[in-house]
Amino acid sequence: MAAPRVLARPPITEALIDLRASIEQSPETFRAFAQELKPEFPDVDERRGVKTELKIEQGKLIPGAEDMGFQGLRVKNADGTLIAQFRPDGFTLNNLKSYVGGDGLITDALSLWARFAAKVQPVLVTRVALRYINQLELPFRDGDQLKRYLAAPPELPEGAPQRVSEFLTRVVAHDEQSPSVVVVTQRLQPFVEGRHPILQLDVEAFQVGEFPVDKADLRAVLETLRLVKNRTFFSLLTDEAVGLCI
Amino acid sequence: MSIAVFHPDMPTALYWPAEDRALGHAGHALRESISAAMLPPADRGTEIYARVVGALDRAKEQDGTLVSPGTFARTLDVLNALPREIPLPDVVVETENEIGLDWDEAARRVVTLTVRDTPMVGFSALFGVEPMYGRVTFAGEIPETLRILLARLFPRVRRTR
Repeated sequence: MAAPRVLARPPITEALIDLRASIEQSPETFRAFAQELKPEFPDVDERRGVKTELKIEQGKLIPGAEDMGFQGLRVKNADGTLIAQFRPDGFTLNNLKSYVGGDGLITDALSLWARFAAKVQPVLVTRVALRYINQLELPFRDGDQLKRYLAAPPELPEGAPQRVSEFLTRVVAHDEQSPSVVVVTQRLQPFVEGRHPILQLDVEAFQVGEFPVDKADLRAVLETLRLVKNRTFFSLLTDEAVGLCI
Repeated sequence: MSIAVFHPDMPTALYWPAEDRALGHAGHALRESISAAMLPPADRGTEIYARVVGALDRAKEQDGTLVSPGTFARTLDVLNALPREIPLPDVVVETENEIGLDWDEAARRVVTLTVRDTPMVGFSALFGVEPMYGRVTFAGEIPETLRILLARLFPRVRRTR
């Protein structure tokens, strides 16, 4: 297990905060809110649900589609680093391309949430989640043990083949220090000769319950989730793996 | 680690692709991988459809490319005509009229087919230092030239015809 530390090159490809709440407002309310955000989030994309049916008969398409109605809006900032999703079931802020930092992500998410909540008046938040998807290129040499970089790789017992080319694990674990649940997904992508294996390490920490919609209350929950997420992330890597990110 | 016995108040983390809020490439790859692992087994036709539609979705999300129906239909035709013992390729939208089918088995063992809205299918292959490329007519069955290339890429696969 690696010691938690500030990383100069965090291997984060996406960080997101997700708040679930029942929002009973018309699509026009969502659209008006997106207009207010236009100066900061000029790119607006309305999401509609479509149920499609494509029949294949003798290699030919027989298409059919049913409109399932308004599913929310996505707004994106000019450089594409922040995408906010406003849906009838809640709100998500996605940070891509260039990480804004943990403090920045929480502050930006809660600021947008507060503005949204003032408009749509949700009664409660029922789920608060913080999710980080990391991608690390691990310079394994052929024959290296997985534990050179991974503190908790999957294992096969003696007697089973021991040379691993790819794996996918998903573990749901319950924190004993808080009412948080952590979902850890590790995926080692298959790799070809001449390239390094890539590990995707997805850590989501969440709590379910009845939370006030006020951003100060939600910040406290998010800060707890952040601690759980950081503790989990560093526990999954060795010092040598973390050294690749410094 | 120890087992946590389920009780009704315990939060669950059932996985539904539609509820996955990630938007980036890594999140998309994870979603596909988890879905493939957790959802019921699908037959090859369903998998073909899912791969092609997945490629269309990515192209639309990444740069707004929308594929012509003819190119989409021909891609399904080519994939459905592949011998069943040949693994399905990665599907990549190149332009609105071109879809690439990529088999990348090692640094110098690569075959790519390019499907358009015409009867011609382009191919390029690299085996060691030997590049090959050309076009063949696809009329419902995989042409001999492409069968030979795929057999060379997957030599251990038993060929049936």
